[in-house]
Amino acid sequence: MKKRIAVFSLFLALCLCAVSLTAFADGNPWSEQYYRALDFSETLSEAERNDLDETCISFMETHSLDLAMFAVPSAILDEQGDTLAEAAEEIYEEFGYGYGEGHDGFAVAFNPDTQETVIVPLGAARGRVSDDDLDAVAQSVPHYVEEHGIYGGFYAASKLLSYSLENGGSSGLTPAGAGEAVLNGSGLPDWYPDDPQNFQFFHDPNAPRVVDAADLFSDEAERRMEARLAEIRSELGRDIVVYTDTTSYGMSHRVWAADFYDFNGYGIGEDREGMCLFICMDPDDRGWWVCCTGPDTMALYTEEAANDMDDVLYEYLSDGDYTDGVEDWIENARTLYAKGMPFAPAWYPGRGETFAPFRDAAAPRIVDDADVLAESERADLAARAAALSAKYGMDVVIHTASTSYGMSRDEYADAFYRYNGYGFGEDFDGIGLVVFQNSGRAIITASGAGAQKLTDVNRERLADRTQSLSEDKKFYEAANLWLDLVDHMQRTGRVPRSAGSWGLTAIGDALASAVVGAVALGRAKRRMAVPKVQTNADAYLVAGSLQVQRTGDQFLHTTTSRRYAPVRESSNRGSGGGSSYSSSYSGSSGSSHSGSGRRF
Amino acid sequence: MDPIKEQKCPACGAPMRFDPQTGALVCDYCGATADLSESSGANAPEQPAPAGDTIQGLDFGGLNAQATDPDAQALPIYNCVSCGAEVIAAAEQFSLTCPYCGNNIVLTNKITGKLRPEGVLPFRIDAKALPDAMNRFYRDKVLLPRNFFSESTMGKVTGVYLPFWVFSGTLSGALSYRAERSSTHRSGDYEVTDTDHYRLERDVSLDFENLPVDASGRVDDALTDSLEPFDLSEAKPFDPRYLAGFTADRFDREKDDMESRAKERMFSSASKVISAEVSREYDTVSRTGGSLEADLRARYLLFPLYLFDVAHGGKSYHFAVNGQTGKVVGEIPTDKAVSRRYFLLRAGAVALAVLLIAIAKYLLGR
Repeated sequence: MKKRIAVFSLFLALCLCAVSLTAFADGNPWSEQYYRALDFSETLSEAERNDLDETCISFMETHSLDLAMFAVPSAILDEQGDTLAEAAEEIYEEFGYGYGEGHDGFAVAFNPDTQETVIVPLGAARGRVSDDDLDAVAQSVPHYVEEHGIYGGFYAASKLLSYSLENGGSSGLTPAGAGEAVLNGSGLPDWYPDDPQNFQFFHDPNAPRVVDAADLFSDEAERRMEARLAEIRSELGRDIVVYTDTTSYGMSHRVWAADFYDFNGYGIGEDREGMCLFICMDPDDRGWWVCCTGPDTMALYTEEAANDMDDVLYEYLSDGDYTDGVEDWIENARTLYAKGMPFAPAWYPGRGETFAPFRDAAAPRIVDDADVLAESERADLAARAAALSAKYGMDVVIHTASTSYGMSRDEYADAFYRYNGYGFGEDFDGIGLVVFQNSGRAIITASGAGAQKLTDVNRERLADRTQSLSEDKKFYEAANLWLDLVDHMQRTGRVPRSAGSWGLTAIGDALASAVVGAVALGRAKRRMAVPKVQTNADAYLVAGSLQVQRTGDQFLHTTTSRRYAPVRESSNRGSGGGSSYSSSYSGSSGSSHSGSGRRF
Repeated sequence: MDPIKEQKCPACGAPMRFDPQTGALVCDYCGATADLSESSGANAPEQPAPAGDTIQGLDFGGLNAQATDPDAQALPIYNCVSCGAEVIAAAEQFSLTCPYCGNNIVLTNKITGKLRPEGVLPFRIDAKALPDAMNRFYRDKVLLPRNFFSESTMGKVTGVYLPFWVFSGTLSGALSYRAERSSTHRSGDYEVTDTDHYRLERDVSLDFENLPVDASGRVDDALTDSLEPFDLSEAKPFDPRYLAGFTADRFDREKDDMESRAKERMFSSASKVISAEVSREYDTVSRTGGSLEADLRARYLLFPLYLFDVAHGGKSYHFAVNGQTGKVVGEIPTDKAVSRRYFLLRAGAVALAVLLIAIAKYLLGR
């Protein structure tokens, strides 16, 4: 930072040239090379930076003016001898911010040590907002920083500036409490306490669990949801709340969701266990946040569970199917509480239930949940499975599935066999095949005598050979082959290799031998090295004779580049991208929550 | 001064030769020996008076002119002092053996004044040990044609003192560099890399010692370079008696010409070590300017080599052996049929092993 500013006079020309050349590379009249919220005090989280970045982009799209915000501590200003305003302008220009050719926009700088805030209009932004409004916004920022941290201060600045611009740049904002005057619109809701930090939590069993201020649901849907939420509360002792609104009142979704839950008497027990789905329909800030409260809920709502649930919800909400999306989310939340995972089959035992293994002789041995087998095929396979069962004294089960309900495939296969009453005798002897419809993956599960001959190699061959057909959607043929192979394995102790497997072995053998031969020959040829003229004198350098004296080191400039490299793998996430997940954060009251959210 | 100096046995008058194993003169006829440390007697070295300037480090300016002086070359034919036969010596030779009586002769008029070598590295390896050295050399050369090397294919071995310029000195100068130092941190979904750019100025100096450069055009540089290293701590002041029984050549490539080659090698190494030192504090460093100057001294020394050829397939392959260390270098052919067989044997062995393992695993049900 220091050097970036120090060499500003030398580097600025190059930097601006580079920016102007690249500014329109992605089709936008601005550069997205850097985040628009730069926090040199390093207190903003990644999720908060992402949120602020999107807020600034939205601001830019609305007003055709850039908005970049910097937290610059005193140490950096002192080292450089800059005022906060000078630093704001230098950073803005050096990092190539600005809308269009004129780099129009606002640079907002906040000093977290002194609480000083400056707002510098640049390019065409000059004169768009009156000095009075700019002063009012600048004086409001510390107020929001105190309440919600730097994230809240920057977020409020964006909303206040937006408000001023929408009102011609002279909105009459007053410095004292200007933020509240604007952000409230019709004022904060009545339930919002005057002193959030000393708020005494309470439980209100009669408070509505569906608050649809954004009017997304029909009355009938609201009643249906209320009824279902009451059932869940009664059944599981956990509070699930749905809240929609058209604004988050100048706060982040996460904080507003937490405040709504905290200040309205929700939650069961001393720990106020429960979760709140807040859907914000603010056109500039549309998204949702799931706020979890209480140790049990926070432990259940892992990042993986959050992403899985958010993926499903995103598909509904992005299509505008709010009622179905929320009702589905409620069922997933219920399943999470009931079974410890957001999606689980009916036969999966509930959390805390003591499961006693059992045998169900009447259960079907061909379970075609994926509906990929014809009736006659099922009957044929059932007859063959029964014959094998009788022949070897163990259960033989085939199951087609379309999902593993968030479990790993192996876990699902084992759970299916265990929780559906399969197996002979005390050890529940038997072997099962689970084929997944979409991927064609074949998983083998076994118990007792069924596992005796299932060595790792046999298991791998059973799965691979079956899969070679199921991947081509030949499920009946795959199941038949699997029964043949199980018969062979039980009879001989091994699963025969396929012709293709032998062919692969032969090819691999040929390649390996060719590589080994070539490497050996190469090494032998290197030993036949011919004499060469020497081109260096390394061996004649006198040890310790090298003297290197520093006569002048001059710092020239700093260049900065950035590369998109997300930490989290997003390919398995929904089309809305990964969720912002927070394992712990605080609401305005200081209460602890976890949660996740996404924009749509 | 008599232009021909011979090494005679003080006991029987027969020719004496330098024996690498004992480091003394030996008479092959009566077995008498003469220690080279003896400074008196019939075999004491005759110290010719320097002509003109003495050999002092750098000043070899007029040396080549003297080497090509008609007086130094006007005696292509000598009369052997021992048998009187006429002996023809090549222009660069100043030590040879009379082909008629075996007398060892040193042509002292070719080593007077500035033509006199400053020192000599005596032979330490005897010619009889060469077949063993060659066998060791061939041991891991598995792609050689069969019967490439045998005593019958090995041509006549010549022990030669070859002239070398040996350079020592200092490289120094002021150099400038462009350097970069980067640091990377994460910013959301981005990896942000800040790269600081610097201009560096450095005064550098470093020393090189005893870099030998072949001063004879008779042997390929690739061969003589590959024979390195030579141990110059064993160098002796020049004494013609070390030459007895060996051929010796004087230089035919000027010191100034060879200095440029020495500089090339030194600059190459200097550039590498200086860059490594300068870049210690930076991620990347590239040189942008400045230059190194070389302040070099040269010594004119004789190095011991055995030279011979191996005849195979109608072609002659040249070999050289470091007479001090026994290191062998030479060009060797690769037999295509042997190479093919070498590849197939190893590939086949691996293929068979993999196949047997696969069959065993199948039979064991794994």
